[in-house]
Amino acid sequence: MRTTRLKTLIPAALLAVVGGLLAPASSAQADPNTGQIAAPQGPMYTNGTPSLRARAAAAPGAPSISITRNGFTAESVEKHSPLIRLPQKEVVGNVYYKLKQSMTLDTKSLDFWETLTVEVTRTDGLGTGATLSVTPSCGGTCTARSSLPKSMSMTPGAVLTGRIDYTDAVSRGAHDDSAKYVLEVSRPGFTAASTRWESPAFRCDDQVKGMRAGCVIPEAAPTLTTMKQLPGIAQNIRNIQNAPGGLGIGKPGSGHPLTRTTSTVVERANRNTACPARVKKAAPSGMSCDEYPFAKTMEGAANAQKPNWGFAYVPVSEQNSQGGYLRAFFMQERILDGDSFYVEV
Amino acid sequence: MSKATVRLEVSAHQYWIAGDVPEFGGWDYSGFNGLIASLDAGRIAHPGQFAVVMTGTDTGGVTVTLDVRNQPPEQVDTDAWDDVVEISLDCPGEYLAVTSDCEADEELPDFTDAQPGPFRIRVHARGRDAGEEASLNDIDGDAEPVEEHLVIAWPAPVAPETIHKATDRFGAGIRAR
Repeated sequence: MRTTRLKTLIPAALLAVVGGLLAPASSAQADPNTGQIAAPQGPMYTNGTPSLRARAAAAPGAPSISITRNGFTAESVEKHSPLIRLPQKEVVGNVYYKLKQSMTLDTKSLDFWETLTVEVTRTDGLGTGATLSVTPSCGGTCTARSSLPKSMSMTPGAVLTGRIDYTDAVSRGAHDDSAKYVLEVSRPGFTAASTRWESPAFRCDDQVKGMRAGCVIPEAAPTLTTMKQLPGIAQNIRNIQNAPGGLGIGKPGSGHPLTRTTSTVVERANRNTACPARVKKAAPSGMSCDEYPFAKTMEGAANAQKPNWGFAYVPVSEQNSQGGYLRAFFMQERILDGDSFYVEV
Repeated sequence: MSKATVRLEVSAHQYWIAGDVPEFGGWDYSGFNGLIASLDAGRIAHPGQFAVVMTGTDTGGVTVTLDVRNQPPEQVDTDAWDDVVEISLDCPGEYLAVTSDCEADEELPDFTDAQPGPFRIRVHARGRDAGEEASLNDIDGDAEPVEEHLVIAWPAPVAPETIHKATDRFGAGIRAR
């Protein structure tokens, strides 16, 4: 499983924070530039502090978001948007709702999609009968096409749900973006309160030579599992990941992922440090010097301290297969220069 | 016809001729000719979905020429090379490319001229033994490559592999495994 809780992956700043979670509705403020009023919401899927976030994530019915390389699913706790009467900024009613989202990316396509659902849990005052709308967007080379109903009259039990299709037109490069959403509750004669939030950051790229373009959530570090099939190499990795006093470098759950580098300068430096000439020349027949962390990572021997790197003599055939496994993994997961990943053996 | 020569930075003794979204599977080189492994779901196959070309050089520069044609070459040049092997590739998609995950990749032509395949791929290699020996020393990023490959690709029906020449020690070592 590559599912990871939000708290370890997404900086809080990525999620629009509009007021405090517990702020009273009457604290809603009109934006002096636009006249728009921001709803007194916490971030959509998290509470304010890491400890609160962790607690919320662990509690049943708590807001949750799980992120993989290929998408995310999220469910909010009950949120509310007030309906405001100006100029006194009087709250004349509220709409309470829960939000569910599920986005699916494709490593082999620039088209991706999500389902978004707003379930109205209760309404009060003039919130009953107000209308609610959600407008998604994305930027740059990305475009969003929403099949959500344009708006919906609010009564308890009402559900606004639909599909949003995204297309990125990136070519010969990479485009980092996120989906942005605006939820508005409105009623003729009153001022709409808007709630804004963003999806986890995704990236579409056309940089994997020999493969068509595709999209991933780069913060979700995938795990390489195929090294298990190479006994000598797997043992070397195990020795370093489990070294007493070490970081557990690259081990899932260690918090110390490997970082891919495409720099041949770094690769050579790593290789020359881990497997210098005297070590390579001392290899038994049919064996070659293997290093961990891999030479194609920033955590390789040239940038590491013992016991967080090491070498072993492994059968030459294992090393040749390793090259294939590693490159296949980089291609399939669209791991570009600077992306993190873990190694499970 | 399109042709280019680059210094390709290889690692783990290999570069790839990969089509779009190959089925990688496991990695079983049983029956490998020692130069170009034509693979389908990780096993030697004719045709393959993608190919791994083995270099004597472990990590470093190899001079690689890619020559994509729309007609087969008139003759086989075995005199100037140590090993010459020809295989068929039938790659999914339309993005077949020679790649070693380095910037020089971009300077090599794609296979547009020979679309849509299947392709016949003839790989010529010389200096693999010298590349392997040089790899026992510390890697010198400024050193001139001692190993050279010529890859000729053209559209052709699928056919069995043809080993035109197999004389270097590096390839013999692979075949003996």
